[in-house]
Amino acid sequence: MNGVTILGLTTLSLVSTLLCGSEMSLNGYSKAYAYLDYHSGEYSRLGNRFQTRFTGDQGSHLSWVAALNYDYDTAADPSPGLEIRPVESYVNLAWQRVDLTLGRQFVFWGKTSWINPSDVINPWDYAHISSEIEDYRIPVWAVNTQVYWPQFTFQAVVIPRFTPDVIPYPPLPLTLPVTDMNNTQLALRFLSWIGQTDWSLGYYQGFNSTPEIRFRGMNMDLVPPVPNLELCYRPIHMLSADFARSLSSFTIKGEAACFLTDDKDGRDPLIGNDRIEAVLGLDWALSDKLSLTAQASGTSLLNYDRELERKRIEEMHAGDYLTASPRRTSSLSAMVTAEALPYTTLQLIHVFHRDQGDNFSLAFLSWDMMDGVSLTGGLLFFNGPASSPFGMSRNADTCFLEMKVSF
Amino acid sequence: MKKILYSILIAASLISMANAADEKASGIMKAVLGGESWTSMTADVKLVLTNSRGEKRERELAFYSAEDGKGFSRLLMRFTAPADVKGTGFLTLETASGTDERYLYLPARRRISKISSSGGGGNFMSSDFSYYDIGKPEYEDWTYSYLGEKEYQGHACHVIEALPARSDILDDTGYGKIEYWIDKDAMHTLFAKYYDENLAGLKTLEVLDYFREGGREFAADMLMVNESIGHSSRMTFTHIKLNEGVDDAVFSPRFLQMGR
Repeated sequence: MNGVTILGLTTLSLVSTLLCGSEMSLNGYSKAYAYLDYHSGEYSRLGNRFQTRFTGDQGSHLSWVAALNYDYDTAADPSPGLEIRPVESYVNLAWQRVDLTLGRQFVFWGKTSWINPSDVINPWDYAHISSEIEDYRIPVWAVNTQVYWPQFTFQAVVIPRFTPDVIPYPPLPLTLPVTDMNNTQLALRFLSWIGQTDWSLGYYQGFNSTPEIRFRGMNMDLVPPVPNLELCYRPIHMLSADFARSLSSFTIKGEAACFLTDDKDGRDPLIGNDRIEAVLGLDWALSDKLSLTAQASGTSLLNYDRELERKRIEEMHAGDYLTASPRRTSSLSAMVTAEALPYTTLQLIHVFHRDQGDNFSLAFLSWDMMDGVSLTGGLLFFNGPASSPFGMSRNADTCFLEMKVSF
Repeated sequence: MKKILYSILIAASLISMANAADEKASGIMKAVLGGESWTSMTADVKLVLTNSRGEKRERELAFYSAEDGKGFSRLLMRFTAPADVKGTGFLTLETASGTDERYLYLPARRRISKISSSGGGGNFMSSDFSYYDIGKPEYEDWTYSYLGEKEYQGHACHVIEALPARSDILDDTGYGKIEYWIDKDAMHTLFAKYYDENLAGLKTLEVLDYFREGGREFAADMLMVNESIGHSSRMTFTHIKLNEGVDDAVFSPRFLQMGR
């Protein structure tokens, strides 16, 4: 259906181009990719993607983008054959002080460089982590309005339909929020600056894109009785603030988000507690060919008693699915970007959870072979105890190679 | 006693000659840099990078530059080719504090990032040109000495040495010294040698063509060679429009991300 929508939009673009004399261009790329599971020696992804990206405009007030991926992954099991997936498809209307963007789009929030607590609008596709953001983030259908004044910008985003993260779920029934007015997601952001410090405040009302467990009573037909559980997406409210300030070869960036959930008194183990996530980062351009980003981040659960949480989980016989998290967690991350050789970029990313002792590393080398042609090879490693966030993925270590020809 | 007197006279005469040479150099550079100039410019830029193995990469950019109402420069550049970097935009705003505000838009990330400068002038789009090189040099930033006359490709030239007038200029540009070959007739730079803070040779500039309009002049075709790494960059400006004004809205994050 989405593919049909895109094709319709593309056709509309072509027709309007022909009829109205507007300008349109076709860009895109072809990418051959191979993702090898480091442990099993089998390919998790092996195939080719062809992307077409139509862009056009009608004067200075109307423009549009329609991008479509044609994926053929021979390693997918079962094989879906040729998959046609829309990436972005939106129309942008621009006036002197207002931009209105309608359609399937990316809306990324947050000023920090790598971890963005306030970046909640576009869900994640954890099955397609790669060097390109459009692989692992999912565009959403939205009405995005931005109003520009000389001293500030105001943004309002309305997202009518909920889209969840793509994540390996436990084998439980899954319920999505119904698409109706009551479940419409809303995001508001106010951006400005003081001196040389850029800052913004944000508010989001919607759903946690990662599912949580809902308890549906005990199944007494079984011996011993087992709980009836299902996965659902809980409502959340988020308040956020961020800033960025450059000081010569340094840029200091910070971001914090407060998430408010339905667990008002903090006693329900099935609903995530209110929490604050914060990141403080430093970007350091050591030279034109070498830069370093370091970040410290932390999460603090509010109204939370770990012992009480443990007891409640035991009472519900939900220990197989739930754990009582620590009240505070923190992580350190670093990203090094270097132009190691002419036309070659090396990027190393490492994230370390201090409390759980788990870590994640991504390294990739990209070679600009010739104009419009690049070759990227990389390694993705997870490490840590089996119960930790990265430790759970430790069998998903991957090495990959991509060759991309852009046009 | 006589010896001391002679020494003082010789020293005084040398100082006087040196002062005269410095005044001559300053006068020439004032004429070169202080002539009728531009306050805004738009152009298309072609950048050809060549490495030590002779491998070339071509970049095309749309270039917008203008001063704000307070005399601070603003610059926005957006890649138009090749396809894999098309839409990448860079915005730099000069501020009263002396630290430029710099923003980068990467279409692949769909996000504008505030970025820091790397110091030492920072290289322009991975080329051998620094951001300082492509900006408008300020006469007051340097002190000048006259080194003599030399010929460059059949043109009689004044050779002038420029040293940073202040430590922040050295920090900002990374140049400990620049030698200019100024065409005596046309009174513009034909060739320049750049030295690092330790006065070791860094790179050379050859101006291949000038754009002229209404008494204004602009180096429109330049070749910068970094001999130490065998890399060179040729930057050619076309479709140049000087002093026709650039809308203030161009120098904004909103316009920066329109390359999407």
